[in-house]
Amino acid sequence: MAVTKHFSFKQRLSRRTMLRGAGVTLGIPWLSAMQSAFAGPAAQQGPPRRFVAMTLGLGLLGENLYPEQPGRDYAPSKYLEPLTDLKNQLTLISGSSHPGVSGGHKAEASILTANPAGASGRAKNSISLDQYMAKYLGHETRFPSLVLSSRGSSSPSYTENGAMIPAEDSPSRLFERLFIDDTPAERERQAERIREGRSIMDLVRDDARRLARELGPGDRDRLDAYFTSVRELEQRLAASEDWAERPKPKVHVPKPVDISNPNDFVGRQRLMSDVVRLALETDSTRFITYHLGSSGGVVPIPGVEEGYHSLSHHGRDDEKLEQLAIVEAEIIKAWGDFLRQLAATDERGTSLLDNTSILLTSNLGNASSHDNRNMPVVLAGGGFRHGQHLAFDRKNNYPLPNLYVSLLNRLGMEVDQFATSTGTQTGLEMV
Amino acid sequence: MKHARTTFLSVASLLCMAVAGPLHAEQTDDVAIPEAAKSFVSATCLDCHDGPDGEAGLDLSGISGDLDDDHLFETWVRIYDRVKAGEMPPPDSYDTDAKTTDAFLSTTSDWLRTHQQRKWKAEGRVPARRLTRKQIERTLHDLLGIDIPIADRMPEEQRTHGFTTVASGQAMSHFQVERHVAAVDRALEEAFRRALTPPDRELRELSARQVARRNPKRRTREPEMIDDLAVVWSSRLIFYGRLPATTAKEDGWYRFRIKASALKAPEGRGVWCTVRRGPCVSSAPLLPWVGAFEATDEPQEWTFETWLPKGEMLEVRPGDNTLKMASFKGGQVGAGEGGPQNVPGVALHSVTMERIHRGPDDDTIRTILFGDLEIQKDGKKPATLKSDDPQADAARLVRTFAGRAFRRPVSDDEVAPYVAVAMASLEDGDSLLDALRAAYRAVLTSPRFLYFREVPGSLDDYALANRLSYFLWSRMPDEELMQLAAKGRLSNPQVLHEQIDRMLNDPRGERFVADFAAEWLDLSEIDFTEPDRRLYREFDSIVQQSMLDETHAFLNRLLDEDLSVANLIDSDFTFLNSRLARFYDIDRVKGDTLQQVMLTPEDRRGGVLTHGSILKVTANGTNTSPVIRGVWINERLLGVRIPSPPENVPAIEPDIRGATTIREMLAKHRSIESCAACHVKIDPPGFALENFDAAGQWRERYPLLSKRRPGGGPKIDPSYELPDGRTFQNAEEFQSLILESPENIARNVAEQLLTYGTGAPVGFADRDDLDRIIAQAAESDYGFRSLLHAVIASPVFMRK
Repeated sequence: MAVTKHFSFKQRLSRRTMLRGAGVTLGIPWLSAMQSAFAGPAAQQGPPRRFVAMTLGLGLLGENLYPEQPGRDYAPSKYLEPLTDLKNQLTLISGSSHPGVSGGHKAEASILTANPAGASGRAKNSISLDQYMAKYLGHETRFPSLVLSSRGSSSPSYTENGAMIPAEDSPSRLFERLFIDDTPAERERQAERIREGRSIMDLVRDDARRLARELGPGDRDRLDAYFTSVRELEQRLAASEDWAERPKPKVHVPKPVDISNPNDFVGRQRLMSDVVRLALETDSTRFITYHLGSSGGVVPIPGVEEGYHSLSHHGRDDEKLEQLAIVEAEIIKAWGDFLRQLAATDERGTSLLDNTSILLTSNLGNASSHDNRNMPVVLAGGGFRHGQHLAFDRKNNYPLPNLYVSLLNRLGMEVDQFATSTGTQTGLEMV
Repeated sequence: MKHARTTFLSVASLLCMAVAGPLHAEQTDDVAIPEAAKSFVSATCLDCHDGPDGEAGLDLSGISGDLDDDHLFETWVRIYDRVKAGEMPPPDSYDTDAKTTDAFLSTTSDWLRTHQQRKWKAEGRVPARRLTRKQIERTLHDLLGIDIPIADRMPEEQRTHGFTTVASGQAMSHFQVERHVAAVDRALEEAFRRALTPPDRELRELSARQVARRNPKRRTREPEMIDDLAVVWSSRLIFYGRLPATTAKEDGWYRFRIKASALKAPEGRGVWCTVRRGPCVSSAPLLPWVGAFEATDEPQEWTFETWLPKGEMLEVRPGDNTLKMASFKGGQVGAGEGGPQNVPGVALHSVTMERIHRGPDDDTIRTILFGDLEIQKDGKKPATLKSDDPQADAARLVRTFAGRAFRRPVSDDEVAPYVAVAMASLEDGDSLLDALRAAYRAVLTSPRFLYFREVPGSLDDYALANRLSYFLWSRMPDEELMQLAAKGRLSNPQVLHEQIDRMLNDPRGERFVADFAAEWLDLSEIDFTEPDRRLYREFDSIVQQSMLDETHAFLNRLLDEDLSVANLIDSDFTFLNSRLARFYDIDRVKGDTLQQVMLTPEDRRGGVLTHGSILKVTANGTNTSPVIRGVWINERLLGVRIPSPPENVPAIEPDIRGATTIREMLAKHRSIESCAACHVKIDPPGFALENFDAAGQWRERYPLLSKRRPGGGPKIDPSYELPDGRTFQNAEEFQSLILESPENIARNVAEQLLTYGTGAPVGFADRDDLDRIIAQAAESDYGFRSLLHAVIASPVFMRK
């Protein structure tokens, strides 16, 4: 599945080429000539543009999320009532989904790739939206991207050869990676390791090639994946050589204490969201996915008595629907608080929210029946003309990958296709 | 992915394909559907499965015969299976004559088998498989002689067809490579540390006073001194019972000997205690399990071995949820506050803590890394290796190391790039030690280390040694296997048979059952949910660990004594300690050691099917679902694969309003025809086990979830019928019905073993071999060990 058609990636100088050309004394991590062709003038002038995807494993009840009226004059829905102050920072998109994607929970793999791999078992997955962004723009920051989850290693982020990137689920560990410096001796050791690692990667890559020739044709593809992985790692090591020696940014908050209760879904969401905000504020990364996966247990909120997963299979049972709405409303409320914090963070005269597109979505439009159509989609911030409900046909869905193209364009990437897109998002304009 | 889609009903389109260009000319043969299959499908299936709205989302009007498309191949297998089973065409609406059906079945079977055999001849059934992180950890232990945990440093792995060993699902990305290199670095660092620095020694002999709180006036969570013993009372307070005197100064394995006795034990029993580890501060609330014991009035001593990271300590406390609990104010315990509350407690007499290593000593590690080279240590300066010819020594050592790491003989050519790493390092002026370390690092990152090397056709003896060793031990082949491989004797059936027994009887073989069952029976997920404390008041971590021990001991007994795998479904024995026995309402077991217990019908237990471990992993902690349990029992124990709900049919949302019990809800669900097809298979085992709750205890009534009350809900009705119409009233009758066909149980175990052991699921073309395995195992009444022997001796295992 071609991710893009009309773009030449060769417009960017290879970093390796540059390093060789510049010799070993290259001190500045990135020369402007090496900046990606995507990062046009806009990216160099204003504050950086960013993208955060928050993905839910169990969907959201459409009837509580979406207002009845389309357009700008809508009465807030049950879930959005507490977010009324953010109305002009939000766009709701109903009646959209990924064409051809099905398979219920398995479609989790497709949330950000829009690839029907999960369900059919026919093809392998392709690169996810965040990784696509990070691939071309991720070199500007210490971490090209962050892949996070509220529990476990599952994530919607996939590499180009279709491997899932394991998520970090501990806010305290993430905090350490972002903000706590290694000792100078440890840093030196790391740098030495990286240098040595790069030469080993060269060797191992060549040997993978030789080995592939000795083995059968069925093995070659898989050794090829190894070969590619090694090459990518080598490229990343090259980039991290510079970062390894620079101190990490300082923040004036204590390291968070992880929440041990696996069922405290919203507590964990709030804690991780805090670290996400710090990561954005310090420009440690610009591309983040945060997966709020399915959770079996009873979420500790008054009025909730059954496990979250079991509630999501409500079967239109009133009691279950009511409890599920309590959980989902809390999730949206916590999300709203996260948005407010970004809105309150000043960034050269604009707010952090203005420069960060934040997508809230799920593979499940209806968790009760495992339906992958009518995905819940809310977009916030990022510099779009918000304040509206874009309502599409709930029977014949609008292709959601179009939104992904618009999000790529917002970053200054001049692509006109992502997965099964047919254009840019109808009705969504940049400011 | 481009597949020529051919509409078999249209000869014209076939011709079009044929003339479309030379590329397609060859494919036409391949994608042609055999005549007998074509006519059967169009005459029998198309009435319902026609077009995008075809029944169950199956559209046969445009189905292609391009079997290279894996998905299409599976569709054809499914069609074949459902016709073979007599499920399709629906017997009540169709009258097909047996001759046509037989012709369809034999033609289709030949067609599918021939295709897959041809493909496997060229590629093998297992595409380049790699070591799992558990296998990497143990291989690094064997290779380097170290014992530190490493697997956790690598990304969690996806399970495909149930197992992380299945090659087609093993992910590879720069993240995997990066974490792998980091894990290798940690392993080498440890090996070099062991080789170059003085041995790790530490022994602390701690008295009761030394493990108790220092200042008796302060309120803390350490034990208090009462009558010269360090006492911890039964309570829910977190970290109460922590022993700061056991804090590790270095990461390492430690052996603890704990002498303790019970205080105020309940009538007729002891006080069950947990031993856990952690930093025991509020920023690190997790407490990994170390062990458990049942303290008695008479003091006893118990031994535990645990990995203890620097800064962590032990916590020892009563851990039985059924004990009366003391309450303490403000999250601390003052001396003298627990005694008057009249709750049970544990009294520690002494604790001995000793640093140990599991595996080879430091001398062995030195030999592994440096051969016969002498280590020179001069005062505070870093150690060096004594060598007259560093180039030659490095080349020799790297070669030997690579041979072991690649687990087969290596040619000069293969090893040259790795030797070159050491040479380049020496040229840069690095020491011989550093040069070796760099080269070993490269060797351990090599695809030759990470991947299995199997060439299509029969496995050579080295490939066989590897497959066998990672199957039974999850670790690299040992010296004996490698020597037999070198002599070309391992593939000799008699030798192979002896080796399997040797490997299983070896201490390394003790982990086979636990490794296999961790994934086959989802036992690795035992603590995924925590049963709701208000609903399942007797459940606790001791019960949970005992459940795992029960299942492991049970499976090991089947393996050791070659008992029939029918015991999985029902048996007249199990393994219990006093705590688990009490949880099961069995009152004749004493003591904290796991022991074989003969079961009577009144115990209502028998077979893995009724083990607490299985009942727990098939529930979500709050309630049970016959659907989840049903699918699980079908797929893991009965060998019935339940397909996912149809793809392009919009999922139907069951309206279950008005239905009060799960039985009524499912009845409504089944009234929808496309749901019923699978639910006739899914639901029976689920209902049969409804008398077992989410924590694995027997119950007569459902809990009243809204009131959080166990047993307040409707009465349970476990009766149901099997897909073939035979009915049962309860779990016991269900078990008897299933046991009428033990060969099905054996077939499933064989399939699971083959999938786990070879790294690929059992395919259509493997079926004849599978039949032979089952026939062979029938002679021993499907003994577990005989079955395992037959599996390994089969061509499925012996070929790539």
